[in-house]
Amino acid sequence: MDRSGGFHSSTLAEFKTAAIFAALVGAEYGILGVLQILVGLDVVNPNSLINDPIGGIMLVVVALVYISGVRPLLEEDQEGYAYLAVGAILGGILFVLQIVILGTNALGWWLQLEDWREWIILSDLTPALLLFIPVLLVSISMHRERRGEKTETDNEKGGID
Amino acid sequence: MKVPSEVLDVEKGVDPQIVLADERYSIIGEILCDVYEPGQAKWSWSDSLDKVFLHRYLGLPVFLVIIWSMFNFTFQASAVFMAIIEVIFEWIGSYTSQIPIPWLASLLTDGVIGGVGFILVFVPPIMFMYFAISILEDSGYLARAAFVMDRIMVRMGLQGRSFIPLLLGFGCTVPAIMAARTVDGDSNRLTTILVSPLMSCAARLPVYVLIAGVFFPDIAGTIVFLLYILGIVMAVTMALIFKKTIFREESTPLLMELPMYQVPTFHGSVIHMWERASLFLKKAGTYLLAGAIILWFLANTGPGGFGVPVEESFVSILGHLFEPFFAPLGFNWQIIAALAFGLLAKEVVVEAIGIIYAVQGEAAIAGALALSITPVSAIALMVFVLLYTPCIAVIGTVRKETGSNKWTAFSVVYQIALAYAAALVVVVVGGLLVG
Repeated sequence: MDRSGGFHSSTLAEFKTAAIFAALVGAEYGILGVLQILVGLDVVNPNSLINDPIGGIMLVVVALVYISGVRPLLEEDQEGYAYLAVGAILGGILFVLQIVILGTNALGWWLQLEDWREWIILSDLTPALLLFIPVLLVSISMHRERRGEKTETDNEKGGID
Repeated sequence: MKVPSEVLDVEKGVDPQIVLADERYSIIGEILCDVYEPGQAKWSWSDSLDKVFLHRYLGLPVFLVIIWSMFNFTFQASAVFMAIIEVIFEWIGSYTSQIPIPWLASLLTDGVIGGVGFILVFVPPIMFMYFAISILEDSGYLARAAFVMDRIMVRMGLQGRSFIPLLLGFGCTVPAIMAARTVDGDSNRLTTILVSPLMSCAARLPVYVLIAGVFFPDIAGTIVFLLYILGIVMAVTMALIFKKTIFREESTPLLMELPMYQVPTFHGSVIHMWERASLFLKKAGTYLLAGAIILWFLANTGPGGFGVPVEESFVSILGHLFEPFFAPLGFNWQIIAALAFGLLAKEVVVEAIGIIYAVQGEAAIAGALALSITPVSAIALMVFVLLYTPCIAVIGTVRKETGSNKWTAFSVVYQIALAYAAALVVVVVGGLLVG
């Protein structure tokens, strides 16, 4: 991260793309969060492996953070990117948490400890884990694209000078 | 920096720290006017992240997501390591139980391994929790958490600065009470001292992990998270009640400089985790070992002499003495005796359960507990452990910090009464819901 915090003046198109991205990711987290709450409350698919309504509420909070960023991004406010960043941080925390849980459960299964003998990997493939991977990939590609454009702009400026 | 003394004299009723901070920032502002050229490129990540982390409405939900993740990490990720330690102690126990001298075999198997060995099973969640706290602290978020909570507390008319000692209470109640010295005003300080023990300290974690793991294995992490939240809610509620009834003093806003966000280092967090874990291990090797031996002795000795069944021991007499009082909560004499010994240190509750039930391993203890109390009583038990007097060290610290036997006695009595009342509410409401 440079001293400017990695920011440069975004173009209108970039703001729009970021706003659409925030809205889509927010909707994804929101829908799956609500679904997870309903599954946890046995309203939908009572035999599901993922039975964690509080975990669903956490996904809804991530969704709210993303969705709160849509408006400032549409208003071409740089601070809108902060919502994307915090949404990614929270999504990342939930993702890493699930990865660690999956890893330790796999260790228990590998050691054939009593409580882990019937563990299956499907029970740990939660929405928090699955949602973050595409979000991360798209975020990285968007960031690279912006970085590339910034470098090109800087080079052009350097050439003119 | 010099602040004219007349400023502090004239501004009566204004916190000198606020005056000093105002002066400091006015000088900083003057310097910045000369040297700083505002522009979009100067906008930093730290400032922008604070827009969300300290957001008026999103700040609290974001805080809850982070804390929930911390407790899930603490419980779920450490579960396998707990099981590994348990297997090791079961293996050692299978050898010590074969020692030909019966009392020595019982002392080592039921007393030392059943007591201290069982408590050592809870080292992983304690280590994991401190690792997570260290990451939050090093990243700069913990200070923001205090800021987010301060806004709520001040809105309720409470002393915002109290949240710093309360936050320390997540680790240990003793330093939390001592940190109340930083709170302005005698009444505000006393309120902080009285409510600090309601914040769930690390010593209570083994009890939650054991009970939640036995009765609610699928949502144990969430149960532990909810208990910590209940501790905060009860602390704020009691502070508000004290404020409206026995203490009436003006609140002052929290003034703190938020550090820049930083990426925490793995090395630093591991060192912090190990420091806390080694403290726990020292405690296990000294006080808890001594406590386990005394408990084992009391569980094997009664009016009939040494070697009596546990039902005829002094521990049983102690448990039965308070049984009528705890009968509405559904606690049996074994649980009551464990709670009584828990006044020495909260870890002893788990240690005592292991010794009194005289069974080896979490699975056997889980079976014994499941037969002893209902799931509703199990929640009531965790709530009671959360709210009743943490330990004798805390009682001593309250006496030292208040300098008053009256307030010390009040602290102990109100916490036990609150714990009992809250546990009773759980039993009544739970009974109505479950049927």
